[in-house]
Amino acid sequence: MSSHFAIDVPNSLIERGARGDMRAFEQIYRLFERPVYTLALRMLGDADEAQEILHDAMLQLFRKLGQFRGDAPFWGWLRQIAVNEALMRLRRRGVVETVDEMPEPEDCSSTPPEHQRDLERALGRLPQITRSVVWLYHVEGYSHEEIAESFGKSVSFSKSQLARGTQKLRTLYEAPLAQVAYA
Amino acid sequence: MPDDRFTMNAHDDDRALVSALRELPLATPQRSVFAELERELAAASASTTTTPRRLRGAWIALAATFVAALAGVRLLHPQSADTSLVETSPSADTLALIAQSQQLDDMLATLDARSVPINAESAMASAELEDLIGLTDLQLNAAHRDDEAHALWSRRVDLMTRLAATRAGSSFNTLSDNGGASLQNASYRID
Repeated sequence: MSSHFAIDVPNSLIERGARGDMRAFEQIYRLFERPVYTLALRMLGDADEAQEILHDAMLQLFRKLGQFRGDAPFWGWLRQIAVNEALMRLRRRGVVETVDEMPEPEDCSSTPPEHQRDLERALGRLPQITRSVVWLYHVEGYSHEEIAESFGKSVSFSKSQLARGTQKLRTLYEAPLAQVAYA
Repeated sequence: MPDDRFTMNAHDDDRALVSALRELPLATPQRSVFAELERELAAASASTTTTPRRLRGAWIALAATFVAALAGVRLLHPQSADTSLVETSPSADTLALIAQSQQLDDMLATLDARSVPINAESAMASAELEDLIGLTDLQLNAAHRDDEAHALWSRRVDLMTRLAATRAGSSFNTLSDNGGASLQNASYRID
């Protein structure tokens, strides 16, 4: 499992949080603060909005903690709350753009960047919905069925966005170094 | 980590790219929001605990009124739909759901126009329902088939009904608070 969310949380901690114990809730918050923020940042591509998603998702977590039944991993349950919050934020923006409507990338020559910074930059240039599909599938381990359900779309939508998004990401990722290599 | 970008091609199953994605480090938020959350939760808790006990019967009666109103709307206005969000021709069933949704929008606008304050618990419940409605709208924007649209409009009507009942119940309760009567703020759902 590659997801940063995959953290085992003791049942006793969850139960205390569900009873309104703020210290238990704080421990849960500290465990998942960065995974939630990172997921939101990857999906939305905006640090300020990711911060707001962190706030909203954690607020939802606290309010719904009593509803957690333990029939699935706690981290997966929390992750879905964060995904839903991020998708709602995309809706408020009115974002429906996918890689199908993506304009050709601009020429953005730059100094030779770090390996990961290049990848983050390439990721950031994908349309938000496409990027979310790519991230949820490749990194969070969502299935196409789970992605389709979250987006209210078909499985074929998830598959096509993943295929095209991955291809586009690879092109964008390779481009900066290629520009330097052939300069 | 070695830079293996040029070892990748369209035929290698994108394993190197996926591996690189998974190795991206966790991001760190600019600041912790825990203190903010703690304050908000404390304020909401204080508001909830000071709310007087209310009568369940009156609330349910009001909710039932909404159900009856919805049924009437569906019978009287089955074709008065706003189909702006549906990209393909909707079926008659979908049109009926859209009509229901539109009428609920009108009801909520009427409730909002009263400008009656609602209690913190209902405000949080309303906010959650509004978020879910928003998510449904996002999905509707991207729905291309009628079966998709039908399922989403059905969900929207359900959420709108619950939102209307929540707001109406809270407003009714708040008015009752002002008048000294006692109504129970139950977590009643219309399904």
